[in-house]
Amino acid sequence: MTTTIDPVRPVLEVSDLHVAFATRRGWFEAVRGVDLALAAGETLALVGESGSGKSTLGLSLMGLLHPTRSRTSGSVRLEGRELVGAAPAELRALRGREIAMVFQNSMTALNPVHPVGRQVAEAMLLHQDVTRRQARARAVELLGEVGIADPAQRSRDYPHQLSGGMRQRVMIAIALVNEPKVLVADEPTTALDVTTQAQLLELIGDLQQRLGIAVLLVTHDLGVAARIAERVAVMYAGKIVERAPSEPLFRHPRHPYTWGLLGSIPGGGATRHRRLDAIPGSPPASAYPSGCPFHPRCAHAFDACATTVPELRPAVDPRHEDACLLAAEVKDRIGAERGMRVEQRGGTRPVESGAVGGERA
Amino acid sequence: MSSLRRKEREVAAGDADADVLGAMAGALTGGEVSGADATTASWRDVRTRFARDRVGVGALVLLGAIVRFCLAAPLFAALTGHAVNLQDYNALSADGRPLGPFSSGYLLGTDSNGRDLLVRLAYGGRVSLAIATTATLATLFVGVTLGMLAGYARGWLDTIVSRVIEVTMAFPFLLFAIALSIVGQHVFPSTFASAAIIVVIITTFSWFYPARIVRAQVLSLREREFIQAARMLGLPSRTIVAQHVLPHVLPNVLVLGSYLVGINIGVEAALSFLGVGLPTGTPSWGTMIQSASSVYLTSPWLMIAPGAMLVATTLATNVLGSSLNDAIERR
Repeated sequence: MTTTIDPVRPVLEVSDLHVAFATRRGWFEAVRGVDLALAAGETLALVGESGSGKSTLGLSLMGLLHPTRSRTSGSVRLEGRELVGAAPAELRALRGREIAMVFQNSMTALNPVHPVGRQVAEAMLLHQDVTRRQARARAVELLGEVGIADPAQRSRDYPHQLSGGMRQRVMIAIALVNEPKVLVADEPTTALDVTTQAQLLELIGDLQQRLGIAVLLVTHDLGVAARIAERVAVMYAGKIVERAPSEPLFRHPRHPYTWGLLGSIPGGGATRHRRLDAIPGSPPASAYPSGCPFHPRCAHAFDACATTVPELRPAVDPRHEDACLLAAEVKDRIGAERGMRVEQRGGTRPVESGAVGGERA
Repeated sequence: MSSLRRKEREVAAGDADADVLGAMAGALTGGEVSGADATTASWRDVRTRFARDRVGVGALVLLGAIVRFCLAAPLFAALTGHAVNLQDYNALSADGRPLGPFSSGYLLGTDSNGRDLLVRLAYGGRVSLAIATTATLATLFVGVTLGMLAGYARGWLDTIVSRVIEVTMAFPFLLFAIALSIVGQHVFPSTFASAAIIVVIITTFSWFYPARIVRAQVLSLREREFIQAARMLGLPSRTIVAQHVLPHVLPNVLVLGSYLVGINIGVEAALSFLGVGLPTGTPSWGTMIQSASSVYLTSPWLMIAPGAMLVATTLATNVLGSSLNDAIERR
């Protein structure tokens, strides 16, 4: 599978994206000015607690938010085409073809009344000029490619007859059937056990490299992010608070929120046999605090944090940005303590994965 | 009569279910591991559970017997040599009264015009069942279509459908049914037109039952993740509704349909009894009860026979509906 995409020019460009929902007390902004760029063949992990806006961001890229009860502004460009404000028919033609999504819960995201093979073929019939028979054959082939044994037989099974891991493989097959340019994976492995999780991450990584897909991995699990993402963006309260390539982000995290996330991973961190450090409190759910949105929960906050909104800025390494008012030396010092060594896919030491911030889906 | 044919096929399937009942132990140990989805059971599971429900299977068998009895009407006519409208004044007692049941040649006796009650009961059943089934199918078609549209599209379409439902429900059904029927028969005076008018009246005043149920279900279905996943693939709304929403709605529609057949048989009978349904010459269970009402003190069997058929059919469809509901929802 060869792709002719310029590796320098990003396939997906998000700039100043705002997403708001209608609530009883007016509009609540879940995503507040996010900039992202995703190149072909690249994996960007979007990490954050429940309620940080990461899933909303994923859904807004797909144009799947409620048309009247949500409001999206800013710009999302897929290969130069603007998606925000595009006509529904135009979006429909792109969805499933150029940009596809893997949902978290394969039990609810697959239709229980249709055999899985048919669900894979359906997406293909819609977007490609193929006969029903060809689509069926390709669906079986693809189910084999995503690692389902005996795909011809399994393709006639209903979702409830498959295991969670197999169903998630089916979801991946559905998302990839039209070889999209961008794959949004929203917590693709959260509902699975650790071994299956590892296999599926491996699978996503392999397929991505083979097809040259850009992957936006939405997860609350830093372990998952560490395993397959080249770059990680940490989201809090609708904003990106730290963004860096995986290695420096995990080795020298610079934002207190990232420290907190790393501190709450079991098995990670600098010392073993320690208590897990949960971040106190929970993310803002109705109104954002003034200044830095994280300051009410931050152990390092000082006076200015309550009044000044920190901007996402690079430090020494231009690729490593953070939005925190702490002095660079403080961030360096504490970051070095809190950092952890991670090994990417193919490494020898498995990275234990763990829930962040207490809640597991 | 194609609706009756369909019924007949269902009934044949029902007999197979009765056999399943006999081989229940085999089915249980047959290795069928039922890991059905909590929200939507597969038809196979529904079938298995239904087969275990003796009352439900009994209702299906009873309904099957009634349908077969009605379908066999020409056979009864041929065997007895009594055509449905053959008025034989020799088939009356010496003082001109109808013959009672178990008279020679007349198993259920005759009516005041010397017509064979057994033959008329079978022919009348065909008419009653055909009207009730057609009205049910029309009701479900209109109701399911509008309910799905309103539930899926929401917005102004939903508002219109919901308001029309409320207005229709506010109409006093019987009053309007009688009025419409009288006017309708005046404008289109024929037996077929009378039957069609009954179907239209029933549909007009019952489409909102399926519409409301389906609308409510679709409103919650459309928020489910697999509908979102279907939209993620770029499927157009009509495909999502037909392929991904409709199959989830059908079980409830089936249950409601079963109840409606029973109710509609009663409505046809009621209209005919009030003299605003079918013309009295046309046999249906309703018109038969109506004609018997003048002689029921002396010849009660004329009212008991069609009345019993009416009760048995309604009972069977109601029990069947409730058993289907249990089988689908696994209560």
